[in-house]
Amino acid sequence: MADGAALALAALAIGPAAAQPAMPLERAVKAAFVYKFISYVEWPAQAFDTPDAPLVVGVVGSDPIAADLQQIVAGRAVGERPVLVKRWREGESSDLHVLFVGRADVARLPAIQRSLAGQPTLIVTESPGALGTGSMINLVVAPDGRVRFEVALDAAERSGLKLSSRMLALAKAVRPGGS
Amino acid sequence: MTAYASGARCPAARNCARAVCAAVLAVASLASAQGNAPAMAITATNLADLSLEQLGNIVVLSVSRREESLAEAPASIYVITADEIRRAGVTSLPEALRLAPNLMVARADTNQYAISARGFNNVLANKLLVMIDGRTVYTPLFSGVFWEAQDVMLEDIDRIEVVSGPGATLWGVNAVNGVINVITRRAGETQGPLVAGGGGNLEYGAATRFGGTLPLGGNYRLYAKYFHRNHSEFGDGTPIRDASNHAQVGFRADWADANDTVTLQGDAYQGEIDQVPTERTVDGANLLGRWTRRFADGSTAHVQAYWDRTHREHPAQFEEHLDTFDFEAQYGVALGRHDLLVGGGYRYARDRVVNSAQQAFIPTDRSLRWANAFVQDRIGLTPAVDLILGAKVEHNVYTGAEFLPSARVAIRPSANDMLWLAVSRAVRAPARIDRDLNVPGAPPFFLVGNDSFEAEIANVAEIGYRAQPLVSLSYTVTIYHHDYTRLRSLHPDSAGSVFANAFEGSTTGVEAWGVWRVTPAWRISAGVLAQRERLLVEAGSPDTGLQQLVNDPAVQWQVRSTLDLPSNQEIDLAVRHVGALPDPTVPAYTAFDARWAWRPRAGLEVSVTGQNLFDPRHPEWGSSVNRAEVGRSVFANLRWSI
Repeated sequence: MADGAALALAALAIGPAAAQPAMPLERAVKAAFVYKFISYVEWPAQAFDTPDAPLVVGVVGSDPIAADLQQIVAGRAVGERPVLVKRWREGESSDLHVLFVGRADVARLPAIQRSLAGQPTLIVTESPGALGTGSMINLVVAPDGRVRFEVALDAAERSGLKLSSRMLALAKAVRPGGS
Repeated sequence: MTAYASGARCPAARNCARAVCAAVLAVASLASAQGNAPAMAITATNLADLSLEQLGNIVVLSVSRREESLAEAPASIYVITADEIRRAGVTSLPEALRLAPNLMVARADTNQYAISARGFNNVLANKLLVMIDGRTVYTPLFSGVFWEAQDVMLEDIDRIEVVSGPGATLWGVNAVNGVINVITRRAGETQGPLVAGGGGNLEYGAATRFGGTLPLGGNYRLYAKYFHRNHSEFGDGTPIRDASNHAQVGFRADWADANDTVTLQGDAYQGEIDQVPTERTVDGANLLGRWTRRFADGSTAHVQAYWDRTHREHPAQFEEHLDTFDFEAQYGVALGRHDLLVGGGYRYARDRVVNSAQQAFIPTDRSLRWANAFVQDRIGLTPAVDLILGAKVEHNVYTGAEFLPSARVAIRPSANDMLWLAVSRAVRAPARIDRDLNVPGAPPFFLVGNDSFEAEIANVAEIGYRAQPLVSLSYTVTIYHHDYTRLRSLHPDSAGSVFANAFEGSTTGVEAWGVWRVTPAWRISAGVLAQRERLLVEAGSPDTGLQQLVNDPAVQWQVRSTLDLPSNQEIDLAVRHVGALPDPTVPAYTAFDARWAWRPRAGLEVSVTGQNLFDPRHPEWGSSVNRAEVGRSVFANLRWSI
């Protein structure tokens, strides 16, 4: 029941925006943000099999951002780890370290979360209001035309992720965590 | 114009009597240039090199005419990115402009360039508007740019926007064939120390910058740079006296919060350029302030003011002091389907010339004033179709009010492509050379000032298409037709020739370029420009000067490859071809450039750049009697930052 209410809320908040496709520059900037966030997040040790195991970024609901991210990660690594980007579908392997949920699928966020089955996955969205429905970092285009981000520390902590204070200092808004 | 030609060109013309030389070169100023186009050069890959703070500074939605998302602008626009400039290994602003496939760039000697768009290229090209951070750098002497006096810290450039085609509706009477806007990074994006320096067979130089924070959430940077360029050579290897030094310092400070952005910036420079009989000097300073506010209803206001002083002395030819004060304001608001932009500006310039025996500007002192008001409405007819109507009225002291309207349509069949059409009217108002120049410096005059010289008119139609059919591939094509009337001519008269307006005709051409990311580490870009010029003197007119009005290649093209190698190495290769210039004849040339760079650790880069590798030297501009040739160069550079 709670999930149903959240889903309805998300659909209300996000519906109209979903009609407007993001411009190429906006998409590219958002993709770059997603990539940069990786360096500011600490995953629990069990999230990786080995020290040089790849870091896996899933993208659902935005093929253009998946494509931009694939360009970005080619030839790049975060520390020792190569970064893999895959277009993800609900029900596929939940071994993701980051999941970007585009506007087209943000209404399905609660179901997507269930599908991730409690894995420590950083969920990034681009939809107003998504922060209360399971998103941990939400990218928004501010009135001055620039891309800003807001953070839900509580949701991140529940998944066992630690977010760097340097990143929080740059956030437009932070929903406090429990600790 | 005589003044401009006083470097290597005229003194070197040993057979050319001075007055005749001056007059010929004055007529040579009858030219303008060609070229311009757009790009999707900002890629996700480049963006990933920025910090979180820098990403948060990128404007992805239009808030003013300056920050309009260029991929969406219905015009021929190419954006030269900071990464392209770095990877080209260039050391000057004009050399960086060669990266734009829609510009024609010809090097006349060590310091002088002919740069234009869509033809009429000349060292005195007068149909291109050039700005550095919103400050116009053209001279009212000839409505063109003294490139030798314009410098910026290349490491701090954010991008260079190059628009080919008329931009008069927004930018005014100098933007007939194109607009170049050099945009530097905000101070917050250039924090900490940077040191860069290098040398080679033709030049050496060094630059340093430091950026820090200010109270109230502000940032600043200070920079200083110096370069020395060696003399050039004639085709037979004889040296030309045109070696130069240039020193420049400057600063920029930015404050921003959610609603306001405030910028204050300034520069000061001094340069010496060797010539016969003694060196010419240039110096100047400028100070600019800009304030943008975003209101709660989403509308934006922008005000900007600057002061610019330039001084140049050409021994035995002329000396000029120019002070310019400029103010502009604009307001943008969205009203339903209408995205409305209104604005206006006022510029005052005091130009004081000291004449010589060779030439005389009469009167020597001129107070020049330009006042303008404009309105532009972007109407969303459907989600996929925008109509953009705009008009500007600009008043100048020579011809009064000029009307500069345009209409554009942008059609987006999908998220990945756009078709646009535009019709515009642009005007080049007279400059001092057109009205006030007399040769020689005292009667009897060979060339006499003419108070009835009128504005030149261009009516322009353009069709463009750009698309990104694949994530890895994007391209742009623009076809244009410019109709000109009242172009400058030389009217013969036994009492002294005068500049008149007897040429008319058209230019038709195509500009195209694209980028293919073959693999994530390998990128190929290519651009081509082809143009046909048909210009005639009005029926029955005895006027001359056509051969100096246009002297452009029919075709030019370039192909560039940028490759990232393991161990933080880069290999960049470029081939540029420029077709022959008809009169005075300059042979076609093909130049090969290559660069290798290595970053042994973050913030440290070592690079070696070779230009014109397979060619000991070639001419790019001017008559074979006295022209400089561009030689092979090798340049090693070191760049360190934290």
